[in-house]
Amino acid sequence: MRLDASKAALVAAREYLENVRTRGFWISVLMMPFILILVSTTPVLLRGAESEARFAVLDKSGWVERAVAARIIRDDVTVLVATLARKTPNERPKALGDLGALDAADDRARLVDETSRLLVQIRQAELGIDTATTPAERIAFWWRDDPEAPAKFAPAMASAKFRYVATPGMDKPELNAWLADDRLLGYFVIPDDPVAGGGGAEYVTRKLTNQDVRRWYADLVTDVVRDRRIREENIAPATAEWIQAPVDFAAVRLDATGAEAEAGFSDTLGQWAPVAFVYLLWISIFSITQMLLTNTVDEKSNKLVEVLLSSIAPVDLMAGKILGIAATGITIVVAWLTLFVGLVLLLPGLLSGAGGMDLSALVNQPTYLASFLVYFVLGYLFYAALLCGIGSLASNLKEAQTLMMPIQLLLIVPLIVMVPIGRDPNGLLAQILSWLPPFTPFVMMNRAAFPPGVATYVGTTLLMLVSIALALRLAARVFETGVLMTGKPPKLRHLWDLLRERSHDAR
Amino acid sequence: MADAVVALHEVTKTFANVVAVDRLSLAVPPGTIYGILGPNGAGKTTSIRMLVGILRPDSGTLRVLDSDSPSTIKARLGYLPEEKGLYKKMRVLDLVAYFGRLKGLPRADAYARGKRLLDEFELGAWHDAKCESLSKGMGQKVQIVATLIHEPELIVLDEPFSGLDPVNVELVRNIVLAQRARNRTVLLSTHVMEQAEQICDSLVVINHGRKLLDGTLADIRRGAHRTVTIDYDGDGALLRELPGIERINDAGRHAELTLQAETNTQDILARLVDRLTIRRFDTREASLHEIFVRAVGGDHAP
Repeated sequence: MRLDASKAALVAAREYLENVRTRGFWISVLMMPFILILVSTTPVLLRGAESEARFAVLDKSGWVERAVAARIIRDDVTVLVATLARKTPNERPKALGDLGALDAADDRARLVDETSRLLVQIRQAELGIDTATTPAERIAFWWRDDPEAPAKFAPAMASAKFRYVATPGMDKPELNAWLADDRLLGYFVIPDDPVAGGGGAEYVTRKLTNQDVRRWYADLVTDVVRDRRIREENIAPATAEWIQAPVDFAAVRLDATGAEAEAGFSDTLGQWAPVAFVYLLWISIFSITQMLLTNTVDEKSNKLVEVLLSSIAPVDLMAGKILGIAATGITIVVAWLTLFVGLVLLLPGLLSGAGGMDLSALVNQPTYLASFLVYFVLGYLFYAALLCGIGSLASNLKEAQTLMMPIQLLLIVPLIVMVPIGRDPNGLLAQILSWLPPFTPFVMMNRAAFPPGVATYVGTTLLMLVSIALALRLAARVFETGVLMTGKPPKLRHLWDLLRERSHDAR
Repeated sequence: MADAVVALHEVTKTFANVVAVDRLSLAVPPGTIYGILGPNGAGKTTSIRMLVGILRPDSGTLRVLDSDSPSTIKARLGYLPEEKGLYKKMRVLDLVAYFGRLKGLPRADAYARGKRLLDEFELGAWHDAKCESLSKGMGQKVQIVATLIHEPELIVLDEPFSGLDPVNVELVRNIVLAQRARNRTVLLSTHVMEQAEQICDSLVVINHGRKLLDGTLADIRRGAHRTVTIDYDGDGALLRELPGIERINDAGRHAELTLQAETNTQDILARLVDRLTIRRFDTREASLHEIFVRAVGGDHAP
C-alpha cells in the first residue's frame, strides 16, 4: 500500500473545491458568530419576554408591608435615577428630558431621597400637592400618571419583574381562589409580630419552580424586621452596620512566576476557557468527521468509486478524501476563530453586554488557540480514519449511522468528563484519559490551563500519532474492499476476516 | 497467444465461499473487439474488475498490456463500469479533465484534450454546464469522454449497452467501432447477444465463473449445429413431432430449429409443408443467441 501523493492531492483538491462551493459550507462558517451573538443576547431578550411575577401580601402585623413597599420604591428610584443619569436628554422619557445632567452623586442621592418620599406619600394617598415643580416632584408625578412607564424605561428595577397586587381585606380562602385563577403567582403571609420571631411567615403558591419572588421578598422583609429589632434594642445604626458587615474574601491568584495578583472574573474565565475550547473542538471534530462519513457514503452511491479505482489506488482515494475534508474543516475552524477573535476584540460591548463578561481572556491566550488547532488536526485524523473505514462499508447513510454508534458512544466520554477535568485538570481521571488516544486531543485541551509536564505532551502526542497511523492503515484495508461492496454491511466477524486476509496480501 | 493484450490463465476469485470466477483462461488479440458473454451473475464483472486492477485474483496469472500487475498500468487503460455516475455539481469540462489528470495527464493537456473530445462528441456547448443538467444520453457521452480522454491502449466496457435507448445504443456502438479503427483494443461484456454478434471479433461465453466456449465468431459458429428458421401459420405443437431436431425455439409464428448432425433439411421442409403453412424457410448458421442458450442451457451449476 504505497501512497501516490500527487493523486491523493488531486482528489483532495477536487473535494475541497466542491465543498467550499456548497451552501452548507458557508452556513457552517457563518453559524458560529450567529450562535455566539444569539447566546450573548438571548438572556437580555429573555429578560424582556419573561412575564412579571404577580404577588400579594397578607400582612397581619399592620406595618411590614408598608415598610417593605417603601424600601422597594427607594431601590427602584435609585435604579431609575441612575438610568436617567446615564441617558442623554433625548433618550429619556419626554416629560423628564430636561432634568439636567445628574452628574454629581450628591445630587442624585438627594433626588432619590425626595422622589422616594413623594412616591411613598402618593402610595399612601397622603400627598397634598398637585403641580410638579421640583425634579423629584416631576419624576414622582410621571410615575403616578403612568405606572407602567418606569419599569419599561429602567428594566433593571425590581418592579419590572415582581408586581405587587393590592388585596385589601382579603383572607386566605379568597387569596387561594386568586391563586387557582392564576391571578397571582403567590402570596406572602406576614405574622402578627415578626419582630418577636417564632415563625408563622408563609409563602403560598402553586408553582414551586419559580422561587425568585420568595427569595427577593423574604430578604426585604428580613431587612425591615432586622432594622426594627435594632431600633427596639436601641443599637446605634453605625454599630448595627458594623455587626452585620460580612467578611469578604478576595480571590488571589498565584501565577506561574510565584507572584500574587488579585483575581478578577476574567482570571476565572481564563482558567475555564479550555473547557469552552474542548466543546468547540468536539463540535468541530464531530461535525467535520460526519461530513467525511456522508461524503464517503455519497461517493459509493453516486457510483463513481469504480471508475476512480480503475485510475488510482484505494489508499490514494481515501487519503485524498481525508485531506480534502480536513482542508475544508480547517477552513471552517480558522474562519470561526477569526470571527470569534474579531468579534471579541472589535465589539467587546456586544458580547460583554450579556453579563459584563470579559471574553478577551479567551483570546489573549495564544497557547489555547494553538493547542486547539493542533488537537483539532490530531483528533480529526484519528476519527476521520475510523469514519472513512466505516463509511466505505455502508451503502446508505442509515446503515452508516448504525455502524457509527460505537464511535458516537466513544465521543460522548470527553463531553461527560469536560467539567470534572476542568475542576481537577491534573487529577487521576485526567492523567489516565490523556493516554487513551481516542480522548487525548480533548483531554489535553481540557488541561491547558494547568499544563502537565513536557513529557506528557511529547508522550501522548507520539502515542496519538502512532494510533493515527495504525487507524489509517486499518481503515485503508477496510476501505479497499468495503468501497466496492454492495448490499448489507458485513458482520463484525467478517470484517475481522477481511482485515486478516488483506494483511497477507503483499502488493 | 503471446501477443495478446489481455491474457488470463486459470484465474480464480472467491467471495465469502462463493466462487465468482473459476479457473478462467482467455486471450484478447490486439486491435479487436472482444466480448465477454454470459448470463447475469456469470462472473463477467468480477473478471473485468480483476483485469482493470480493482480486484486481485486469488490464484492464477493475469497479464494486461505486458504487465503482471494491472494496478501499475492503470494509466494505459480506460474503464467504464456498468454502474456509473458523475459528480453532479462539477462542470462537464472540469470533470473530464479531472479524470484525465487522475490518469496522469498534465493539467493543460487534460483540459485541451477534454475540450477537443467534448467538441468531437457534440458537447461543445456544454463545457461549463453542471453535470446534473445533462440528459441521460449526454451524461453517457461525458462518461465515455472521461474514459477515453487519456487515449488508453485498452478500453474496457462493462455492459455498455444496458439501459440505453436505440439511439444511444447506436452511439456507443459507433464509438466502439471508431476505437477499433484506431487500432485500439476494446473489451466489453454483455448479455445481449444481438449486439455482441454485430460488433465482436472474438468472444468468450462464461457461466458460473467458468468458460463454456471461446474464439472468433466464425470459429464458434463453425462448431455449432445447423439451424433452420421458419415463419409459419398453424399449430406450432406439430413442430415437436418432427424427427432429427435437437432443439426448438418457437415464438408462435416464427421458430428456430436446431438440427441434429445427420438431419437432412429437405426432409424437414417436406414434413413441414404437409402440416403447416410455411411462409419462409431459411437454412443458415446458428445465431449467437442460439449458441449461447445451448451452451448455457447445457451447463449446470457445479
